[in-house]
Amino acid sequence: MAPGTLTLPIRKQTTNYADEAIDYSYNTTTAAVSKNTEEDPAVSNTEKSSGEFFTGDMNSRRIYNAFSKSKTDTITIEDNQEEQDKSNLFGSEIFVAPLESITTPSRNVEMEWIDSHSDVLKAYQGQWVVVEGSKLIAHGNDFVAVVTEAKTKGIMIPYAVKVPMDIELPFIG
Amino acid sequence: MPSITKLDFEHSYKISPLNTLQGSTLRPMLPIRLCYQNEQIDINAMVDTGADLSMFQLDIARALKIPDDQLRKEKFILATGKTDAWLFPLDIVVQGVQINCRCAFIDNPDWPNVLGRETIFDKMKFAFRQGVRQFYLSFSP
Repeated sequence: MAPGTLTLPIRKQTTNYADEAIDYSYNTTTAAVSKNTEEDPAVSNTEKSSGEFFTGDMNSRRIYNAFSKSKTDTITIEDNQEEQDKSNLFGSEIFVAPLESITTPSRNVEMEWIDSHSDVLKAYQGQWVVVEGSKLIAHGNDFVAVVTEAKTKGIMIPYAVKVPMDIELPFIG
Repeated sequence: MPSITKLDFEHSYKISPLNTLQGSTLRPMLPIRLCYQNEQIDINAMVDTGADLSMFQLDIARALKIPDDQLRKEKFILATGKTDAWLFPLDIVVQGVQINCRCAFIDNPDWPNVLGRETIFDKMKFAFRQGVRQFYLSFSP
């Protein structure tokens, strides 16, 4: 490894996609993201063209967060000790999401169900509800409890929505 | 003659009215997925051009099982004055695109979860047409 180069630890994952086992391991031979150039280091040309590599760039820490369908990718960050120390403020482990978490359902079905069932939801005003498809899975005032209940019922990624009161207070952010 | 820039948007969303004490209002609510390690939760968040950071209720951090010692306490300015909130870089997925984004968590169960500008507005663009109750989103620059 070149001096001044920090390779952040990447969690290795294996998941299935389209009946093909994909190894989400990473090596250190492909891409290097430099932070000391005039260009925006966040997205390389390769990454732009693939559209599968996104980074978060924060004031106090850079996180290079990757997901890709290719079998190997590299994330190497040229960095110095000061930057490394800053990164430790948040912990430096990078989480590579499993592929199933990349695809967000549009939740159109749930949103339409919520829109068209205000009479049903009237009983749950001010509460959190978890809706899956056209089914009400869980409800309650405690967000954590509602999400936990939904997961115990087999909903691994609950869609939690707060049912508005008849009259809400306006929000001035 | 001034040049005209045309913007294309891939996704459109309905803006639903909400009754408030001061009358009906419209909030652009976007379904998003929040991820921390193996925990994932889908919620609606309001796209808030006036918010520097994305800010969610602290209960969401708890439900995602983010360890307390990884949350960094900071001061923020709200309409009501200064308040404490806890920072954490969270993975947010919008329409299948994952973005790691510094987020704040506030211990207020009445707080409407909001998507602020930092990182989010670098990665996607929005257009709002409140008059026709729609807003639009695209990841293209």
